[in-house]
Amino acid sequence: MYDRQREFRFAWKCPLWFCFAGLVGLLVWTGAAYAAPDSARQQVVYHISDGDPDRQRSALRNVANHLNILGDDGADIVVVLQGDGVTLLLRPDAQPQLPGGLSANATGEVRIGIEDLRLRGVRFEVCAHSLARRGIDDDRYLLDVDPADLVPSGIDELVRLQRAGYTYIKP
Amino acid sequence: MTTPKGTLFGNFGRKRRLQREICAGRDRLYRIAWSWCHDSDIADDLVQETLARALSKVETLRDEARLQVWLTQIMANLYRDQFRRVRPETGLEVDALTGADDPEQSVNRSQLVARTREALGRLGDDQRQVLTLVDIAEFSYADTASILDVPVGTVMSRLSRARRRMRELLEQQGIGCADVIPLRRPQ
Amino acid sequence: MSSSNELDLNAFVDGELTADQQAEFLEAMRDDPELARQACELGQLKAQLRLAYASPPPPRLRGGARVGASWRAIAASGILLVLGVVAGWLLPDDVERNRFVVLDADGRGQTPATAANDETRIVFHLTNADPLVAAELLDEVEGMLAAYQADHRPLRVEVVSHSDGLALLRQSLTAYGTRIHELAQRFPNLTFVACRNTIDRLRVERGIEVRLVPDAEVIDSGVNHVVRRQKEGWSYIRV
Repeated sequence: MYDRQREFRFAWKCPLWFCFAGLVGLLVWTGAAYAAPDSARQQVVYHISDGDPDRQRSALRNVANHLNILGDDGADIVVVLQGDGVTLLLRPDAQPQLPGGLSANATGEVRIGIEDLRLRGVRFEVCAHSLARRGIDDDRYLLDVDPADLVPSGIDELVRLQRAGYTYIKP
Repeated sequence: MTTPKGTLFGNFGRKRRLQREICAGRDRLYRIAWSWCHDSDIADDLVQETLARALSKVETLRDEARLQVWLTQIMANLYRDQFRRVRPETGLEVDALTGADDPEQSVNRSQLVARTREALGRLGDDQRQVLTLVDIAEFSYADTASILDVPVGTVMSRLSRARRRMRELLEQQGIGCADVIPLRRPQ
Repeated sequence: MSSSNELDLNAFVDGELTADQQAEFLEAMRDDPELARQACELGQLKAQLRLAYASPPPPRLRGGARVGASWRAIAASGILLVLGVVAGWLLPDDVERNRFVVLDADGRGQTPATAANDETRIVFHLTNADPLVAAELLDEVEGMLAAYQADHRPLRVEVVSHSDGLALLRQSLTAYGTRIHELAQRFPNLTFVACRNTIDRLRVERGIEVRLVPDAEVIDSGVNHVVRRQKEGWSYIRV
């Protein structure tokens, strides 16, 4: 534990390491990465396309309840934000960019709720196309979105996940 | 909004807040860990592992007011079970001190710090832990007892023996208690 | 000093005595200069320890050797990942084609139907009358159809309008009659479907005789239809 470097050199020489990494790559390719290692694990995709803060809040509450029932490790939950739903992850400083009638909703309690769900393993994916359509062209307006979670098209992503075995829920 | 504030995400707002507080306690834990082992890498590992465990079982914390005690308890258990075999190397790593502005005082102070650390390093683990928890981390006797999972009486007797031993060791090094404490300069 | 006195002394210095005990101890110190000196020494030791550990050396591990090691680790995993992907790519196609069957071990999802062919099939379920929502839907659908066409990937899309969503297909209400017609002409794999239940209900409950745009097809029930499509392996998106 105290000599990581030595451990690493060992790992580097070990052929098993190669095999393991190779296997991981192979899994990624075959899409098996989506296969739940444990068949009891539910795969669910939530679709949020509504910009109304109250509706978004209630959607988050649905997700949290879902996790409460299944346990944090019992479900693999992805939330796809598309259409007006992208406002859920917009910081308040995005407000001037937004067209009328929309609000940047990643504030206060909602923000805490999002961060909490993230800690519990929920992934939030944002539709880049929907963002651009609403005048948001910079990810600095987003609440800590990993570039990998900024998907070009939310619809495509919803289709892809369902084809990979995810159950679709529109709260 | 019809939902009363704070209930929207039920316990999860609390969980998130606690997780933040846990991470905020990092420096404090590191200071304690380093005083136990005198090795920055080991201390960092110990803190890292403590935080990881705490984050993963934050829901088992009943009383939020006891967060620091709970964290230190986790760390003490880890130290006992996995890290204790590593003896502190006294006298190392004293260079990295931040000194005072006055060079002379700075030298005095780093000498004092080095000697104090060396003396503490010579104590047995039990005495050192009690002493650091009470004096450095400023835990009460009761909290120290629950952190180390020993009776309060044991904390008291270990503490008094530890202090007696510290004074002996410091006197051997020629540090009389009375004359070495640098006076705090007026701000 | 007796051992119990010594414990008291420590407790005094650590602020662990009750107010009464503390007063008593202060009294005792006044009479006994040696006790006072001891208390002072312990207090100084406390301060000295705090000073000695106020700023321990920071962890070094983020610098130098370990970072080097982790860079190599990252590079190594990157290379191996690429190797793995290439290896996977070289595998026979069946492996990939059957993967959905494997995933559907306990009957979740709609996978068997999808696994049979590579055609992507999507049913959009529109229940919202908002023209902005409808406009975005049409844009999305058009973009997708064009992209799949350009890549020669098979795609089928159905837009099922139901309840308030029927507005999109009602001659008198839709803002996009022409657009719908153009899209339907351009993409034979796109179908607009209206829900008969909704049409009937409008007639019975509100006396409205619904006229649909010419490109709309009618099915008995929008809900039944989307459920059936999902069972057949279509991806479902509620708009």
